[in-house]
Amino acid sequence: MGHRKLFILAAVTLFLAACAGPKDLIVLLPNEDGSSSGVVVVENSKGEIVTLDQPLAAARVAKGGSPEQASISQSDIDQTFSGALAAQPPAPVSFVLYFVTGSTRLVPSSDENLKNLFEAVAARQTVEVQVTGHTDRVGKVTDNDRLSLRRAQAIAKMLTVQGIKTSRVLAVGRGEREPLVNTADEVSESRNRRVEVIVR
Amino acid sequence: MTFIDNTRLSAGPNSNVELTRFKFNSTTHDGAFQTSVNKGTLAIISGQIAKRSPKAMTVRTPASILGVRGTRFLVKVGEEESR
Repeated sequence: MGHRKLFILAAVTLFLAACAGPKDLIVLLPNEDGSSSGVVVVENSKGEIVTLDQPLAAARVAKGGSPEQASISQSDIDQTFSGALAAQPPAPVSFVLYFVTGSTRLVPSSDENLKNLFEAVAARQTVEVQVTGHTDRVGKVTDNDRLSLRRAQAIAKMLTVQGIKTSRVLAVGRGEREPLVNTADEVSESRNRRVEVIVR
Repeated sequence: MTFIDNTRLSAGPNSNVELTRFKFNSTTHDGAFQTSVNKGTLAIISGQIAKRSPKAMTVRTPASILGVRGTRFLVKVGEEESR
């Protein structure tokens, strides 16, 4: 084989390699409840765009190439993305617990929800909990700031007793600033005497 | 990983993902979320940041940049055929 032939062969090979170069794959999934979700716009460095707005719509794009619509089957998705999908964290859940007026004691009807909270926390491998305390508008703002924080801390303490690391629980008090139900000042409102807990 | 805006992000084995920028105001829900996937696979369920504006959340792949609005999606970085 002459040098020229070799050179052509090499050139053709390089050309083919460039065409068949690695392509990134992007797939839009439906929401976890099966409904159609939002939009992903795939754009290359030249500003060429493919918009994905239907569940299972897909696009492929090679470096320097134009993004192309692509199709992919559910079984290919499951196979290609099994690792990433299996590692997906569960959706954050939130709980609201209510308190006896002026105190950090839960009303008995919140016992059930407290149990649900403990279960949600126990079900997670890694967990982060945000606890936000609130009060109604009875009493001074500064007192309510303190009370709301103490409520949050009371729940945070219960969580650490359950075995969660202190560093994984954030307790804050919002006082009477963020009522669930708007009232005039000095109105006693049971729905505002609460702690909201988000488990991630 | 779950972020404070409730974005959930998980990677497949042998992946390389870089968090370039994360900013979130929990009151207004304004923020910025920029990541790069350099290798492997990534699954994302976007959170509150991506609900605000289509520019707020972007994911870079070697060949493209993805603009994200309120959604769940998958990314795989192209690999050289090794057969």
